[in-house]
Amino acid sequence: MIPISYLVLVFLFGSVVSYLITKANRIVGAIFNFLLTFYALFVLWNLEIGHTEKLFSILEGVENTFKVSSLGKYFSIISLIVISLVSFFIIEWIRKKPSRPAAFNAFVLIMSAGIIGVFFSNDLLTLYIFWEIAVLGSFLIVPMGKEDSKKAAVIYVVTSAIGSYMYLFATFSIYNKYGILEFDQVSRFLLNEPSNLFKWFIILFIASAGIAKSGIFPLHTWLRITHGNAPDAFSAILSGQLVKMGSYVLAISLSVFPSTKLLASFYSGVPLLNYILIWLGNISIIIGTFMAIRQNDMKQLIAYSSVANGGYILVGLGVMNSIGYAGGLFHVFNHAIAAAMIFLSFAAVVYRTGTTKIDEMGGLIWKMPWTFVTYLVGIISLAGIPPTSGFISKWMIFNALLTKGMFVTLTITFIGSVGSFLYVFRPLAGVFLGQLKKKHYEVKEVSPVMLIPMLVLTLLTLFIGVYPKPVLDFIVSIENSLGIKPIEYSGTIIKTSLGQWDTLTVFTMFAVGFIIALVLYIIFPRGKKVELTDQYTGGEYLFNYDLYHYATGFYRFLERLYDKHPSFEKLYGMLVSFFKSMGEIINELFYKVSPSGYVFWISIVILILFWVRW
Amino acid sequence: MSALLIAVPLLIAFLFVPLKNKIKYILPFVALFSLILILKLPIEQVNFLGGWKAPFGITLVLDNSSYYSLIVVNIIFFLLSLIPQIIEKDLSLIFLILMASINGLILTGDLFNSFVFLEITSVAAYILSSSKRNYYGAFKYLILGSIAGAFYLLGTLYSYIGTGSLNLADISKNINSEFLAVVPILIFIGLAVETKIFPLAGWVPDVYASGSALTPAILATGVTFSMMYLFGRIFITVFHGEFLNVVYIFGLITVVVAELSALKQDNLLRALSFSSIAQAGLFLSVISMNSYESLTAGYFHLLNDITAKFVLFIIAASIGKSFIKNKTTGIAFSIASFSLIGFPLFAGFRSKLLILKTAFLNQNYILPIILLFATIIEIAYVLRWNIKLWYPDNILPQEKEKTQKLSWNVNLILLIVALVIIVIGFYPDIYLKIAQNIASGLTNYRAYVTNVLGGM
Amino acid sequence: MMTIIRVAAVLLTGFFVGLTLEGVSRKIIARIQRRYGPPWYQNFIDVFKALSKNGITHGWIFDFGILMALGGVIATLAFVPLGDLVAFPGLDNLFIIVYLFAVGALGMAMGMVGSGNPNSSIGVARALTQMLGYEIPYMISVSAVMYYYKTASVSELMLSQQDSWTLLKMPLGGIVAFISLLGMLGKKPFDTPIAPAEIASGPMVELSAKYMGLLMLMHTFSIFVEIGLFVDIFLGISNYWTFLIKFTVIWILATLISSVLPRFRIEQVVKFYWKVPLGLAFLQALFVLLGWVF
Repeated sequence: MIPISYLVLVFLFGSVVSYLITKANRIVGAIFNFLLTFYALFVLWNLEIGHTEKLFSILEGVENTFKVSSLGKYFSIISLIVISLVSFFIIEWIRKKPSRPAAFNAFVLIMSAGIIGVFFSNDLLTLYIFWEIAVLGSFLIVPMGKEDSKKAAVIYVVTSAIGSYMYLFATFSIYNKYGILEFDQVSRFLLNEPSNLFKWFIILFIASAGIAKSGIFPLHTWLRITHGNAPDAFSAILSGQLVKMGSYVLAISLSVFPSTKLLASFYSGVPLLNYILIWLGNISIIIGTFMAIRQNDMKQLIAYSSVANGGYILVGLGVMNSIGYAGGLFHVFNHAIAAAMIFLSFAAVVYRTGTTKIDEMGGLIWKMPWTFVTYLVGIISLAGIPPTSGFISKWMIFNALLTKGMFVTLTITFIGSVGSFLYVFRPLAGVFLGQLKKKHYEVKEVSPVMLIPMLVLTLLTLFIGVYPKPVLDFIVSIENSLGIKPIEYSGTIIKTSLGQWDTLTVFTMFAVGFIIALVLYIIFPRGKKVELTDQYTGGEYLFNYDLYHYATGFYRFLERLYDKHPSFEKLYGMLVSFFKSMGEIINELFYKVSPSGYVFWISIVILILFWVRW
Repeated sequence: MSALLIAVPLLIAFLFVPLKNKIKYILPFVALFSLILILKLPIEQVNFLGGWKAPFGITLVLDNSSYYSLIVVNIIFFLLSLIPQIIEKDLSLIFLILMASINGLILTGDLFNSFVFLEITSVAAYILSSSKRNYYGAFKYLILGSIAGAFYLLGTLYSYIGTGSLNLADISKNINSEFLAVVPILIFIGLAVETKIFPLAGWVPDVYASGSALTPAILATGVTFSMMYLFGRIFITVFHGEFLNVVYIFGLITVVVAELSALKQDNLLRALSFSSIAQAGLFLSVISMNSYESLTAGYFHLLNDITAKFVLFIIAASIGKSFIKNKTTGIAFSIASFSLIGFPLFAGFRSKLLILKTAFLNQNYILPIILLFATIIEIAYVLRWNIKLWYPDNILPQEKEKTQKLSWNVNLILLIVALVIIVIGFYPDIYLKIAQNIASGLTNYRAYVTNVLGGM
Repeated sequence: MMTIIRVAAVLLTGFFVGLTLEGVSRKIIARIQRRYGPPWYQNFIDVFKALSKNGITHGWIFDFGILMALGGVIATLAFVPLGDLVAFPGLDNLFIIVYLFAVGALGMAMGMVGSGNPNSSIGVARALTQMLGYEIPYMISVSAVMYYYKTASVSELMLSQQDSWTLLKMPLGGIVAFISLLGMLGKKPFDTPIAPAEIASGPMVELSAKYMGLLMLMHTFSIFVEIGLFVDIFLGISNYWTFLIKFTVIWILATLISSVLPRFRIEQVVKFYWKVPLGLAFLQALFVLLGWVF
């Protein structure tokens, strides 16, 4: 078993190898990528908790190390599952899609190297370094997408930089004050820290990197444009994995630095700081849900849903009791898998049809049934409906909020939950169901190479939904290592103070219900299969059945209610143009003026200087 | 011996006046010669020209800081001389004169003498900047430079009145409060134009963005470095850190203002020149914390900046609208820009960490905030340009035909420098050693005084 | 084995009582409108007649959607305690029931949109929007109840009401839940998704024969789930028989109210639910937090 640091190096050098191989043959390059990421998954799976490796030392007094923690292992395995399966998908997808396949493959590996490093870093600085490597790798891939993707890449990297520089600032404040950066030492020092202000500052600034990355309000605006415009298969990694890096940092700032022990309780055991973060999560849920309902671009729709789900994770983590924290962590898994499934099925659709606009498609279920199945299970999990795994985490979060009596947050999570039924149904109805467009008569199902990863994810979601023990085992070990009371479960029964439920019984009962329905269906006479064009039309004769598909403005009656919503994207746009015009003014005043103007400025400077000095 | 560094380039320049077209091919040898000469020279050596002892005659001082500054500057000249494509034929002479004057500027231990070299440097720079018919920019530079020169001369005069000497070491020994009230201001204004301090850096974008590759490549790297050295020498060694609080504020203002201005530029060279201004401002505010650590951090950062800018400016001036035909060049450009921004793995990251550490050590929390804010803006425009060049939209086929491949020697040198950036990212010791030596030479003014004036 | 018998008992109760009550409600509406009305067993006739005919189908997703809808609702119903008849004791978590219920809704929506008729798509879009309206106040009011009794198990919620009914302890929550119940049942004024005159019965526009029959069954079962939950949570302890009596009363009450009201537009539904019931639900939650429970 090779050490993690070598694994990271293998990825970094592997990126060069991958570049060269892909130059020769892009499919072989993609296969190489898949094998490497799958091997990494295998290595990470077998890691022992507590395994430590020395790396280097940049600041004196700080030994930069890797250490395998339960939390890091959990996140890294989720990430590598997503990345390796998406890499498998890419084997076929790369034949047609990205403009620069060699660079694409190389950057995927650079990004993966950074990701592995992030999850095993034992101190704040190592985490920052690998974090930026991951950002760099992913930033370079984003502009290979649609036309807006160039702008998207800049927005992505700038938002990410805002978060990570706040993080860096906090890191150096810690280093300056305590002279150490290891997580457990920092949390020990923080426990003895008398100044509340400093604790607030540290936790908030560390968390802000996670806020930026996981698309939490007020730094959520990059998700729409980036997820929506990135290369299609890469969106699956962006939403399924990279966003989870943000959740990881949030988990660190809230639980590894034990926020509930550091700060006084504000409302039923939740400190005010956590409460503020929970409220950021709440706002994200609201924004994500209602904006997702409005979108006509399916990738942007799910991008907004990522905002909402990032909010769920933050709410769960923020509550910081046994069940809420477990719910947050479980939701990380669920959303990673579900988002990967959904984006992969979209990638398959785009691969065949070349569009992401919902109302330009329809009836693709008749041509791409397996893609449809992936999407269906993906949205069932995303919307948190049993018997998929998505429900388990939502149930945990609801329970946690209910036991704490946080009714407003509970309301908002309900809105997010019911709202998710609405927005996931929009692509389902618009893209897969309804009338098939004439131009899509020739569309075929994607090849098995693309289907296999999608179906593997589907089965994984269903399996964890019925038998959540593997994930729960991880969560229990994480909660044990962080000193949180672990959640209780036995077999498939999960227990909370509010009662219990049995995933297996629910699934069995669902199967029984389905069989009853099936039996009824079979014993009664068969229906006659008619074409979709054979419809009730109110007596009209239709010439163009393309138009007989309800997809444009699917929820227009609801959208109307909040058409005039305030937009943070616009606000930030205004901020940017404010900075730009400031720059323009400065430029006009100081840099573009004629020589006589300079003489004027020199005299001003001299006057100021003399005035200051005397 | 050290006088040869000034004399040889000048002499060759005069000798080759009739053979202007051939001189291009001499340049590498001259640069190599002076590089070797420097490496042969012993450190801690003072050269009294004409045999006049220290306070009376002109001295050429070679201590830790000037030695390493000379190495840096001459390596830059050497690298540039290996790219004859970017040196227009009339400019080869200027190149030599610039080399001589910069060597002199770094070596000299005399205030008036430094004024002379400053003026020669400026004149050479004016001519350089007028290449590609950029007369307006050069004219601006000329006016500003002349005013600044006048202030510098005034400062020199006042210091002679105040201390009765022109020798830096002697001034350093004899300074008094009356003197300190006037002279630093005058010298500061004199140097502000060359060190690109707001609001006197108006010439920079016009000159750097003329379209010639040589002008920014040499002005933003070698000349800037020598000016920064001179600044450190005068303000740290001679004035013992007096007046640096004002420099600090001006530096910070420069950073913010320049980054904001850069944001809206639609010309890559202009954007880069604003970045150059901002980095200079950052450097000045870092060194004005006036400690060994901060100077190390500052010069380390400056080294990283000029390494990156060397690559960036040459590529920006010689590449067309995209990297389509010049992928290796593009890779060098991207590496340099990542270093400029301070991504981990690249050199800029190490110096940024060092600056942050130093600033926090000095209980200075404003500088990190400004630095990080400025970096965010810098990320926005530098990366936007990267994307624009890597993924150009609607390039016409004819344009694609027209873009030329850069020749192999340019690519090779740029790649080597880019490789250096990555190596420094992992093993910063080489640059760090240079920076530490410069810092120790500048901060240790007692040693300097003793060294020049003899044990008194 | 006992479990299987209990599940069968629940389902059969749902089938017989549900269909009977639907027939009764048709009769009641007819009498209000001064008609004679169909016999009370009319719905049995309808279901079996529909099931025995050869209809038309629009492909496999149409069929699958209907199966998923019926299967989901059957599964949901099995978890609902009918008084003291509890199929899965201890596992009847309220959240499970509410979310399992969504499987059926999703299945129906999917199958109906799969028919390719825009009327059904519009109906489904409206149904989901309406869900966004009623689900939130409903969940808040029952959450307040769950918070008060510190359990999420429906049968425990029922058994906790020894001293008095939840409806009397938390009248605001009860009212909110009842208003939401009307929305869940799709009764007027909240029958916007069906709206026969506007969008040709919405989701059901393409249904015929067997498919219609299966969906009628599904509808019956879902009525049973919705009202059953309300009865269990708000109307005190009951055994199987008192449960059915309370059930009948609520059903008739809902029928009476709906038969005299006109229909809301869909955005009015959402606006209404998010104004009055949601406000009341929050007020109830606040009372519970403050301990102001009668």
